[in-house]
Amino acid sequence: MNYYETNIIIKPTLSKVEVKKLVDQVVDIIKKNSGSIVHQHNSEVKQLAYTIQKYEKGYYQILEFEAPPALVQPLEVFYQREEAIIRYITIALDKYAITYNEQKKLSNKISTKSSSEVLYDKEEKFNKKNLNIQSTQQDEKEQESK
Amino acid sequence: MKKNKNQNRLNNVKIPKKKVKKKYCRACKFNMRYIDYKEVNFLTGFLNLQGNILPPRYTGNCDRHQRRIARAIKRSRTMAYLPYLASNLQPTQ
Repeated sequence: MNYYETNIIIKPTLSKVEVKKLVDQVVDIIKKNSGSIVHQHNSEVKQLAYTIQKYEKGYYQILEFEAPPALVQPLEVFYQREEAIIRYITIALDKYAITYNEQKKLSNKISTKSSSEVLYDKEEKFNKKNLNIQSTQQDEKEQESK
Repeated sequence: MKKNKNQNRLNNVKIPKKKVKKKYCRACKFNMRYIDYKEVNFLTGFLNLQGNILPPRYTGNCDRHQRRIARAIKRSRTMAYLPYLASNLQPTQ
C-alpha cells in the first residue's frame, strides 16, 4: 500500500452538481480497487497560469488516498477518457510529505478565523495598551497632586 | 579619479569594500524534507521574471534541494499553478 495524491483540473463550464458527480466517480474507482480515501479537499475555481483548451479558469480537486500501486494505471486511463478533465497528476508521497500535509491541514484549521475576528483581536490589544498608558498617567498625576 | 585612488593607497587608507550578502539554501534553513508543488509563492523565489528556473549559483540552493525545487516547479507548471513563459512574474500577496 502506498500513499498517493491526485490533482485534477475540471472544465469551468460544468455546474457544481456535475463536478460532484465526476469526483464521486473517481472516488468509486479508488474504492473498488481496494484503496481508501484519507482526505478529500474542497473543489475550488482558480485562475490558470495559462490558457488550456481556451479555458482561463478551472476547478481544482485534490484527493489523498492509500492504495496499491496497481490502481494508478486504471485511474489515469479514466482521466484520459473523461472529456471534462483538462489536466491531471498523481504523485506518490513519502513519509515526510505525509507529515507535511498533516501539518498543513492543522494550520489551515487554526487560521480559519474570519478577518473581522482578527481585526477585533488587534483592536482589543491596542485598547489595552492605551488603557494601561492612561491609567499610569492618571496615577502619576494623582501622586503629583498629593 | 585614478590619482586619488593611488594617493589613498600610498597613504595606507583602507577603501571600504561593498558588503555582499552571504548566500544560503532557503530550504535547508527551514529544514524542508518535502517541497510542495502547490506553494506558488515559495517557488517563485527561484524563478526569474520570465519564469525560467535560476541556477543555484544565483539562489544559493544546495544540490539536493535544487533538484527537488526544480521538480516541484515542473510539476506546478503542468498543473497551471505557474506559467511556462511570463512577461513579469512576481509573487502574489
